[in-house]
Amino acid sequence: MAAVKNDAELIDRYVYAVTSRLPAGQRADIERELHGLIEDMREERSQGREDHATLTVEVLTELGHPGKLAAQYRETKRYLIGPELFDRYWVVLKVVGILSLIGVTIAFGIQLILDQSSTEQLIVNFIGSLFEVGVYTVAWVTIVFAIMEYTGVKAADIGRKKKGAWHPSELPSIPDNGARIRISGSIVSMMFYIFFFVIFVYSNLFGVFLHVGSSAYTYIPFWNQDIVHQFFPFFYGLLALFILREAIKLFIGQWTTKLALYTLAADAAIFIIYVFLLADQSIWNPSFMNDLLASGAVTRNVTASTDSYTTVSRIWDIIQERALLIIALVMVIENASNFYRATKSHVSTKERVAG
Amino acid sequence: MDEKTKSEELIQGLMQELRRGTLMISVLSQLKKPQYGYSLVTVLADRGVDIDAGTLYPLLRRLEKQGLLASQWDTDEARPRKYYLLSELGKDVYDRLCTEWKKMTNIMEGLIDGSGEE
Repeated sequence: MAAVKNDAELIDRYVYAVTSRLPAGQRADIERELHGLIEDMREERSQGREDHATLTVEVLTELGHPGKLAAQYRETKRYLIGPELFDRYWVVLKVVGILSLIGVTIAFGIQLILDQSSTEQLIVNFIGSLFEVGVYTVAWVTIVFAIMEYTGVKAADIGRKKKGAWHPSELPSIPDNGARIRISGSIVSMMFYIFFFVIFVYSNLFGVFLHVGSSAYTYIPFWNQDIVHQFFPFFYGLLALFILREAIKLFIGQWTTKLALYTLAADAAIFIIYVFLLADQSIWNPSFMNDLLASGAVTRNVTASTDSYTTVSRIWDIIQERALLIIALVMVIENASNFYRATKSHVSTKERVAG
Repeated sequence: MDEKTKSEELIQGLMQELRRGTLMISVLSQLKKPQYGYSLVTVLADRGVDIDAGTLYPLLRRLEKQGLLASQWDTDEARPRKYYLLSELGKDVYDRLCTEWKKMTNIMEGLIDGSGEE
């Protein structure tokens, strides 16, 4: 700390230390006010005293740490996530944290089996990923909740139709077995999404493993490795949507028309990503059939009308062309069943109330 | 930690909370005439209410922002000072708070004096 020349400088330093912690708009006024205050205090304490030298130090000590004083001047709340949201934040952080941990561990397990790198190197990578994923998890969950806090989402109002005074009639019906969403089911679904994501996308192990004759395993990926890497952001989006869909299900807890609509919306978004991924077919491995032929798994017989190459090739073409259609069909069936389950729960609730 | 210091600590904490609630009424009660911050500290101290300048000054600003106080800088004197005064809203709120306060002290007295009675 630079030497203090005189009292005036010490006071200036103190006032600056306070006002520099405050919003610019209030600084000038508070600066003036504090100077006045310190002078008043000095004046009061100087009466009947000789040793004026320690006066300023005494006054400033009494006013306390400038950070503390500044905090009293700031009226806005100084927290990211307030007590109302904190419980929920903690639960979400734990669930997401555990899921991330499982994802990273699965990836590590796969690498242990398949990767040629040394085990030490893999363990180092594993610890690195744990750290990285941990930081991302905490950061994203915190950011989302900080935004909720900032925009004034109240924990008690989440999932409520009407704002204002709570009434017992808002209590959700006890879900019937068919309409109830099991927490374990949702968690397992989330784990599977992460599992598939790690295996099929992150590790790019989506393909066929062949063991022809005495040769070692041949791996032929379904996807074009380079393109998949370019599409990574889409896959991340896809994973996020899948997990969001499960999270909404968990949150609402039973099949209702509202949940069926949310799920439909999530599926619509998911389908749009599928369209981006699959529309131009560039994501599929262009040399898949050639690799398959080279591995000896299929054979070509030019003279015969059909051979294994032609058959597999036809199936491969159909998969590439119709992938979107197949996905769309599955989604339509699933969503229809969601709405059916929602009506079932609705009817039975009515029955219960009537009876 | 022995029992005595523990109860001392508890009482200190609880007293601080009680005082915090009364501070605003104390401040409003002294602002029918304009006062600047430090004169208010002295006036309140004379009447037995100890308040740090570091607590009072920010409180005055908050009350002004809520519209309970009006303020004006007096720059005529050698040392410029910010004077605070009850606004119309402040007067109304203060009067009603006083009524509420008296009601509350009545109730509290009833509770404390009546404690132990069947």
